[in-house]
Amino acid sequence: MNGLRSTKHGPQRWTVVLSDELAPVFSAALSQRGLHTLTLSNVAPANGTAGVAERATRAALIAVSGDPCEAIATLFSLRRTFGTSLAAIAMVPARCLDVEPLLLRAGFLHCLRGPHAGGDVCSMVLAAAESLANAQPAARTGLLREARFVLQTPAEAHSLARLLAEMCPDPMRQQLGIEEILLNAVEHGNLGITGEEKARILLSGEDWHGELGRRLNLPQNVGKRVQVFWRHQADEISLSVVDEGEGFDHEKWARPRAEGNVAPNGRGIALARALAFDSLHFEGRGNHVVARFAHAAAIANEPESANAPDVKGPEEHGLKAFGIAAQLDDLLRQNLAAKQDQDMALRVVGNILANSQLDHPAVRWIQAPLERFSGDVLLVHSLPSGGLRIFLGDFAGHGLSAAIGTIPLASIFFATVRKGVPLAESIATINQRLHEIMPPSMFCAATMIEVDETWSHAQLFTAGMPPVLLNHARTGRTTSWETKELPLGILPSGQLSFPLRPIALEQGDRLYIYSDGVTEQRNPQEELFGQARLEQVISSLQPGLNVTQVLREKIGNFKGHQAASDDLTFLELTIVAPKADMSRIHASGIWAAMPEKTS
Amino acid sequence: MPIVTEANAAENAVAVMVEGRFDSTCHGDFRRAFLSCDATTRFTIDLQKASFMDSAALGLLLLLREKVGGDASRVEIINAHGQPREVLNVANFGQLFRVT
Repeated sequence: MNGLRSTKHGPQRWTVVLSDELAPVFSAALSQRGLHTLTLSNVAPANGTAGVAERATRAALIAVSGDPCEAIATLFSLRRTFGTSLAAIAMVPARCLDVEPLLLRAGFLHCLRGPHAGGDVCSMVLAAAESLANAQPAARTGLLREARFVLQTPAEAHSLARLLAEMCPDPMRQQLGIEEILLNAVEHGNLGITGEEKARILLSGEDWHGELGRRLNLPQNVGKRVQVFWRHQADEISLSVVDEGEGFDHEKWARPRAEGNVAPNGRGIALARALAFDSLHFEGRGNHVVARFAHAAAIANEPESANAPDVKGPEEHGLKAFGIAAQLDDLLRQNLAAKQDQDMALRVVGNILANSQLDHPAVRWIQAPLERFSGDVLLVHSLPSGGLRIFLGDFAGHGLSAAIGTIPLASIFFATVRKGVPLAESIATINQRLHEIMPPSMFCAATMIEVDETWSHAQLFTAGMPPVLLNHARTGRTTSWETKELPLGILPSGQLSFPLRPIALEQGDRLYIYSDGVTEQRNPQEELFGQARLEQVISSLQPGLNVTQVLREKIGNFKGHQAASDDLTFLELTIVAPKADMSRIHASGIWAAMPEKTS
Repeated sequence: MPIVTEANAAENAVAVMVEGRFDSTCHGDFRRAFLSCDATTRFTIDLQKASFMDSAALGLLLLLREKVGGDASRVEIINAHGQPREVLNVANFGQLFRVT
């Protein structure tokens, strides 16, 4: 317990690891609760405790990208670094299909569909860490050397997996793998459900559990059982699972999964092999699977180790017979390669976005990406004249495909701002480039706004985005401004005009730019947050209050348990005396980092 | 998400009715709806029963537009109301399709 309970309302003394993209959203709220934060990129794989050794790391907040396997791999790697009692919470994008069961089986304590108010997440982190700290350590005596289990139903597979995992060196990790192979034996072995059938049932919203029950009661299935043999040997644990089915369809399973695959099933075996076990082999006609993993050095000195029965022979034979070892390696290599490609793309995007002056003193913003790559792009940069230009884009599509569009878009934005290219021309250049490179179904809704060097006039352009709101300092009233153009990238620039809307500004006026993730957030009654509520928040803002915090709370209260519907970006631009921030911008030395190329 | 397609061979017309949420989950069904058409097929997208549409659905409409060679007169979007109407309006899709 280590004082966790007693410090619930006082300063905490431990660390939360969180995905880099979650840091801007939750770091502040977590520190307010006295928690330290550490981003994933700062966790060195070799010795992750470097620099934080003096503090315990008790919780992790991990963003789930399109593929949940990546988050699970991250969790396992963190558990290796920080120990198995790390309380992990997954932030799941709204459009991921039903990944929660998999994530929970893999050891996540909670799955949240973001974006969430910082306060909610903090409470959950504290509660999760506390519940794990209070849990009794699993009894792992190693006294059980051999056992045979017989089971029939998925429910029995779940409970046996929990029991066996308790005897494993790393229960959280191995429970996932054991459960996968036991369920596989029941569902795909004895009940003969193919991967395609399962996908169809899950996707069609039919009652999966009802279907399992129906199949379990079919005359040809009632007598079928799964046998499980547990062997705790000198240096490893081996688990043999034999079903009465027709055998596993190795070819289907070894087929590479497409990038961005969001099928609801079919990851289990690859995951089990990659993460939970040291080896996983099929034998016989494919209805017999053998999993092995080394156990802790606890019984390394055990006298009978020399006499351990050698069971490697038949498995290697089975492997050769099915020729799946190479396919498995291919599969894992492809997963790794896809991950590396994503990392690379993320770095390129990150390098370009680093040019954005999001720390400009006149702007305040929040962004809640649902995935590793947000579909929303927010760019801010000063003009040579002393004005400021802001771009908020919302790509149709998410994930990697949106990131790919971000690269030319941001490059052109920064290059044209730097040269002081007129706003309409800059928009036309971006539109033309996106039109040329993107497939027809992809486009980018955009809001662009430019404040002139005197900070007394602005021009704006909205295309497929909600209107820009302007709160007048003098009257307190809020007005709405837009141009309603076609989103960028759909038609060539030659067929379009890019009309701009001029606005007169006064000192203290506040402009609000946001993506539809704000106004389209739903509450449990399926009502939209809507522009009227947003205008209400803006108009009734008390002086001195941080609008982004207020809005985050309002949206959090509004949506209740409803999942976030989209990427969400919101920016406030306060009209201030131009001289004050010019000095700051010139001092920041950011000009040197500007991209040189454009065309 | 259900997508119901009615093909009228005599008039070489395809009517696609979208019910409920018109989003990325409609991708397969929607694309199948315009797989077997030729250079003169006319499409009607009926959003009477659609309660929601997102940018992925706009993307699907753009794919259909591509399929008909950018000919706005061959695709008609009818009966959009509520949120889908608003989304089509904000995206200014009246410039690309006949929206009635």
